Amino acid sequence: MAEEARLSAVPLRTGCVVKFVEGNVEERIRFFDLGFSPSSVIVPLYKALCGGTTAFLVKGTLIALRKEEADKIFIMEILREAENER
Amino acid sequence: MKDEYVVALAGNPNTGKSTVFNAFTGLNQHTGNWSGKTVVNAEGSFKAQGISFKMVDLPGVYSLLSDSAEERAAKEFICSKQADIVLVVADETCLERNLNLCIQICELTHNVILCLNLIDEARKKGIVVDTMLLSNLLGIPVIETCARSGSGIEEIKQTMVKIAKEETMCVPIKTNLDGMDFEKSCIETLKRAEAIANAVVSNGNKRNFESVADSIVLSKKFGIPIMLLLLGLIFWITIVGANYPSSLLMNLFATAEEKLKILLAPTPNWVKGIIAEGMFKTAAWVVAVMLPPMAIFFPLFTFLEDVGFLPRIAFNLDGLFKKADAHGKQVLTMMMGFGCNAAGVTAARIIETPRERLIAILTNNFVPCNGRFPTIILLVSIFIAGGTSNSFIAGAIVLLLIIVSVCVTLLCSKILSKTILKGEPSAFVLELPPYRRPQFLQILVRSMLDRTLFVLGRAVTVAVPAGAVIWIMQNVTIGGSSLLLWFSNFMNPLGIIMGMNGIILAAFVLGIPANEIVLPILLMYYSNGTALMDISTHAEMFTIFSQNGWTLVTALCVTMFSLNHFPCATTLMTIKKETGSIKWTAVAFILPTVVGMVICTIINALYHIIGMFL
Repeated sequence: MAEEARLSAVPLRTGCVVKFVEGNVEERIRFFDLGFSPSSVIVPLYKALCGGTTAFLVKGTLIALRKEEADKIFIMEILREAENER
Repeated sequence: MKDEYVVALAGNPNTGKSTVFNAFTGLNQHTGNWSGKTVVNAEGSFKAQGISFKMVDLPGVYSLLSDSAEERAAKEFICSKQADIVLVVADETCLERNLNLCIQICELTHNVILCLNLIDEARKKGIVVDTMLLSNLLGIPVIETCARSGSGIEEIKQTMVKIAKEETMCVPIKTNLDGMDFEKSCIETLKRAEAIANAVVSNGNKRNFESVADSIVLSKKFGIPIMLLLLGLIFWITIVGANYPSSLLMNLFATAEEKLKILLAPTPNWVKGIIAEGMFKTAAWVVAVMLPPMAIFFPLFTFLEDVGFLPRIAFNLDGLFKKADAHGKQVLTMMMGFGCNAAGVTAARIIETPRERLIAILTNNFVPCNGRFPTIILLVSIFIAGGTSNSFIAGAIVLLLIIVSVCVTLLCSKILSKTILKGEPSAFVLELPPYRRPQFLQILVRSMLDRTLFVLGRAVTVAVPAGAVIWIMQNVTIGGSSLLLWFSNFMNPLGIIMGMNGIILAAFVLGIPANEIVLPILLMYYSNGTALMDISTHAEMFTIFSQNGWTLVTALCVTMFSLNHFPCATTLMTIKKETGSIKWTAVAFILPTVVGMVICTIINALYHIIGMFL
């Protein structure tokens, strides 16, 4: 899949690659520091009971983001082979 | 040579930075397992080969480029050149994300040492780092450590000595950021971190315990039930375990009081009264009632904290907090509140936005701190669960009360965010750190020293003068009635409406310095009235309370008012300090009190209405 999609829409346990991050510079830098930088591989792993908060495996660490945050991250491809990464 | 060299300790959150700090300085510092805990710089000192070093623990940050308070503080300290050496602690299990900060620090200063911590965890995951190559690529010394066992710490000290003696020179290799704007230079630094990590890290790709544990703990099906089960288990162990030592201590103190009275026999009655019946007895009650549950509850809770379970609870509950328009990290401040509300209020600094931080501060008092836990556990055990034989039921009821307190927190957060603190929930990012093997000895020492003895010490310090004041109020009479009776009569109408009475409300007011002393004040008052000395078992306590007019509804209302009433003096002072505003401190006082009054009045009214039909 090569089309552009939001990180929040990626199914669980499916790897994807970050294309760009929305928001002002401050917000973008914050995401970059956490590992959500362009070309990073992200795997959504767990979803909280309600509200859409999701834990993502990014650069060896689990980071939880609310849906509103994950909506700001756009991905460019889905890597099926990353499914069993963890 | 300088008299003292300053070492700044920097690193991402959850890299074991505080453990490294302790390994160097031996200073007793609380190390929690979530991001941004260290909001105040801690200091410690140590000596190596006769040279003195002062270590400053900077806040845990991911980078120096964002604009949060912690990142500004860390950056300012490093740029201010106050530090002779910067020791960057990195987690070897995820080097790439940690290298970003290290590279940024290398751009600002030259004497940098990289400490690759948690090698034990890295080895377990099959991760190996080529430290020589890493050192060459960065231009700084790189040393592997396992701070928990102390390995590698001596090697770092020797490197620091060499830097101090100018026998070693650090020449950090800078990133080429010429002509790049802020964002591009950030991305370039990240790319360099990725390239270096790819060159030096070999991954074993071992399937680890974490993914299995997380697939259960973070699952939609099992996450919340497991959390409730664990908390219920902790309460049950506390209730069952605290009973016997409590009665033992009560007996011990009753004998001691008799001895003290004999010792004070030559003194006038009022001296004997103030010292033995006032100061000693109240302090003894505090120790007997508080110490056993705290000594059991705190190590168990610290264990959960140490293992890395608390951020996972925050993750599981985030949906609910989002619905209440509250910040996800409020769960963490709430959990700190279980230990001490003042600590919970201070912990609210991890929330960046002032609006959500205020909500977290104002609602923190709704979760019971350790000062109120024993009161609640005791009342539930002797009244609601009907004795210790039903410890399972008692544990379940305490758990239910905690769920109620969380619901009240959520409801009040929602009301606040819809009224006086209007706004949208801000960004929520939470790192779920790896599970860490708990260090049992450290848990015991830390929970006993930092929490149990600290809280108990504070309670006794308050109980001694409070005991004297209560004895005086009980024994000084005006117009045939004691001062306490005047005060209690004044409070009585309100107390009756709330399902209690004047003396109980008076005990809550007198307990403002420390919530721990509310029940001891009542017991002292009651036992003086009946001249009963031996109140060592729950059955005897039940008798005492019943003789003084307590019913099930009284116990229920006292329990609910204990959960929902004004914060203690220490918490109020902390709120004043944190918000810098008398107005918000007043709101923090009034809000839980009004909520408590409303809940108690409703319970009392319902009880009487139901009673009319039965």
